[in-house]
Amino acid sequence: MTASGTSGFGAEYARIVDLAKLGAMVTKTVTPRPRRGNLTPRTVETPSGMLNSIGLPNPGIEGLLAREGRAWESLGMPVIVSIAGGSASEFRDLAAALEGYRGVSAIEANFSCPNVEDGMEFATDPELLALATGAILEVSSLPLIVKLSPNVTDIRPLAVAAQQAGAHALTIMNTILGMKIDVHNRRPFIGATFAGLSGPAVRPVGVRLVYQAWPEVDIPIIGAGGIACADDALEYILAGASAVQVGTASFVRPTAALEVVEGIEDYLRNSEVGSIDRLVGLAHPEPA
Amino acid sequence: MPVLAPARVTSNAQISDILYWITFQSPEIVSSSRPGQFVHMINSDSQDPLLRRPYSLSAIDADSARASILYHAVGRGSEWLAQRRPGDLIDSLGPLGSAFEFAPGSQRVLMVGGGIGMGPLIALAGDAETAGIECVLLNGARSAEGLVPPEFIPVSTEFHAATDDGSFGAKGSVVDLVERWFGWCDQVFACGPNPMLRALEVSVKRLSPVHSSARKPVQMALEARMACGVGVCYSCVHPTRRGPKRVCTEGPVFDMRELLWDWESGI
Repeated sequence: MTASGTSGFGAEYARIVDLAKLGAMVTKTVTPRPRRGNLTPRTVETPSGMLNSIGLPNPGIEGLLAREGRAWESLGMPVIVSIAGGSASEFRDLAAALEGYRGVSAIEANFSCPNVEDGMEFATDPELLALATGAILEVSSLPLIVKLSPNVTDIRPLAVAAQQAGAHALTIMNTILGMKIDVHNRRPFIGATFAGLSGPAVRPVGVRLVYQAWPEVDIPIIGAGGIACADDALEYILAGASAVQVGTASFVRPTAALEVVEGIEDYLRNSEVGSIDRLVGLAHPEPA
Repeated sequence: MPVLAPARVTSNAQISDILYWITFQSPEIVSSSRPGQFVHMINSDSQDPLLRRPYSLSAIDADSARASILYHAVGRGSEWLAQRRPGDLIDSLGPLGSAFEFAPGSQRVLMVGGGIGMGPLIALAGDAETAGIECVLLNGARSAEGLVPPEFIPVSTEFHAATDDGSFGAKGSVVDLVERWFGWCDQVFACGPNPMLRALEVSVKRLSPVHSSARKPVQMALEARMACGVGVCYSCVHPTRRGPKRVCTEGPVFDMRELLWDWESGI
């Protein structure tokens, strides 16, 4: 699937590539009210990666549903809507607003955007995470995916808290908080000072987090972070991911997510495992 | 419609101490390209540098399916581009963004370009020549080596230059040359660094009649830091009277009246 923030709100990429072969698209995050986003510069390239602090520009839940609510039905693939609120009740209201839209297949709760005020609270405190997860599940009939942050000392208690609160799946991981300083004017380079690091450079961190979380939970994990080709995806799958998201790589090659799907199919044809399910978590030692 | 296609390099040359001119062939991309639009190219053999680079088209020849790009070799991406040789393939996505438009009935156009902002204006001057529209093209640069050599400008285009250090043409800003042709022209087109475009806006306002409801149309192509190039990442936004707009898809060509130059107390 596509990672949130990297393929727009709907059919933006459809005019360039046919993404219908993908398992799903995850929308850019929607918030209760419209947001214009952060000051520029919003992105900068880093070694094999990029920093971004876009700041969740979006038309607000009402505006988004008016624009895309029905169009999602004809997109040709499942749509997972990414939501972010400032409180558990805002998360609940967002989830309630999505009820009844047939084009929406699941919700991804963005508890971990590093680029908005208080964006990190839910992703670093297991109790708050459980509270917001529970609030969504009170009103939602859709599968709920909780997106976790790498910006924690130990991801395991957060993964467990999400599962205990009823989440149906986890996405691991969001971007890693970083910054760049302009040495000529001696100031932070990015308009919002801090920014999230993504791209191939961060992949080892994501693979490690999935590997750590997998033994702790029974719900599926969606791996995300620096995946650009099938081998990258297979690392996540062998670490414990049942599915993967492709993000920054799509900016470079709009076909990247499709190539990952095709590459995994090739890998399966050329190996004896048969089904991808049998690869999930296979890198872990056999239980004694 | 933008397409993903290889661009096959047919020539690539340094045309001044700091300017380069690359020509490539790509029927898929060139057939629908127009001046003001850009191509987004992978400038790397590896994942570092990672992102595509946007380049405005500086000449477009649909018959031969060839287009050119005026560029500086200033970073690792464009230095990679400078090393391409005829026959090399460059992974390209385009054409992207909006194009310059001649107003109906436009007979005389003034173009103002700064640095490599000359690129899309050279392509537009080519269209003006084909359409029989008279064209004056003003080129500004810090010094002589930043000016486009005249052989790259369509022959019917009247070409003048200004340099900050006076090493060629008039000494000072290219915007200072605008007054001489502003009354003559029907329409103005500009591309260059934001400070040049801002100064041009000030100049246009000063030269326009105070109570004129029919102010001369001015189209500006913006330069911006981009990631995706196709409107999904929201990196390249520029302030406008109708909120932040994406330079890659809602631009790069904007009507000057829409543009703002500062984010007022946040966005």
